[in-house]
Amino acid sequence: MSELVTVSGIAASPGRRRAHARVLPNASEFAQVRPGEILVTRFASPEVVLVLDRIAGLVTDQGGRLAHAVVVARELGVPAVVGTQTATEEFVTGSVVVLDGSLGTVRVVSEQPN
Amino acid sequence: MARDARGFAPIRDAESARYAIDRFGRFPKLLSWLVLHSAELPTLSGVIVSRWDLDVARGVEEFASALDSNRLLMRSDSSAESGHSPRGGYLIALAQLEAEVRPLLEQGRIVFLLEPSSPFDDLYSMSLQPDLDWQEWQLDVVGSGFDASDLKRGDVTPHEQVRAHLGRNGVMVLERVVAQDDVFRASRAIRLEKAARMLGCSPEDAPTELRELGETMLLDIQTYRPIPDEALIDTIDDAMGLRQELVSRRLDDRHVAISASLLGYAGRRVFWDIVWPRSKYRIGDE
Repeated sequence: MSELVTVSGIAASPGRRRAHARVLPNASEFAQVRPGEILVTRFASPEVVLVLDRIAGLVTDQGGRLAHAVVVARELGVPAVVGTQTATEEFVTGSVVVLDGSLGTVRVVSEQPN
Repeated sequence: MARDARGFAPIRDAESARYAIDRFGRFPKLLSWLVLHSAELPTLSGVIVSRWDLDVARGVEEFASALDSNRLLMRSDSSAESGHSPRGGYLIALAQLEAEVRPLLEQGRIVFLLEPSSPFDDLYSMSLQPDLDWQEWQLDVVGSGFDASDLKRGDVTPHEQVRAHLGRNGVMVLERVVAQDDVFRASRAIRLEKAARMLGCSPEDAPTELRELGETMLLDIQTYRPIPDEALIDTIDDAMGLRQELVSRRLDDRHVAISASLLGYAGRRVFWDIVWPRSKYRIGDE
């Protein structure tokens, strides 16, 4: 069942958040992210920094703890799980997910788009 | 050419770096390279170019000639980088330098041209971050044929994560986490896509292009071999020397990220930059 989808990655910035996922594989789409959403994207690219002030959490397919965007996320207290490899394929925009930046897990709890 | 000639400043040692820091300290990336020189860490030599004319072109040619090279590694910086800054770290032929450098200068950027080092010829590349006391270190490492920008820009998942501690008896490696093979394979595919963009070819043609350039490390080494302890410890030992330099220059010694590579099969260690990521990018500037 898709409700049971959980992905694991690198625990990159501590904190636990429950929020709607916004799946935007490419940085050129970041203008679509809404305040309070968890951004799910391919890379922990520098462009992520530009939206860190409005997202509840960050999930990436690629990247590590020392990507510049992830360093900034930690400084700003934005929880992050990076290097999951598959998050952009596993999650859909509108799902409610629980991100645990200390454990390095992201779990879908509801696929009802808001 | 005199080192303080306008528009052109060669940086070959700590003294020339200290002189340049006063002139170019408003460019964070350039400043960090100069601070590495000033702290006498192993760093590539280079020239700073702030305008382009015949005298500057001649000086750059002399610099390249002294290195017996017809290519230089181009980097650039601005006083306030956004997340949309152009990627750097390209090897540029001397004949193409003017066409590459002029547009960057016209955008208000500063250019620094380093001794040639191919981004596909790094045996290992690392990002390092000390804790607030510079006692505990986190390192992310990628293997052969990758470069430090892969880590800094979050393009790939690190091949190895390391935690080290500075104790009474020196640096001790406390923990290593090596990525699984599928993570490594995925990162190679991404690296080849990136190579294709840099070389202006399709991902399918990237291996052929790399072979023609003689830059085959990414192709030849197809599994990740963990970085030797000695290389980690030596790199951290060197990096420790930065703290005093930062403090003495009243630069923030907290929340810094440092990057370094071991170049070529010989593993020549060079430091690339020190970054304060939070001040590098304009948060919320989308």
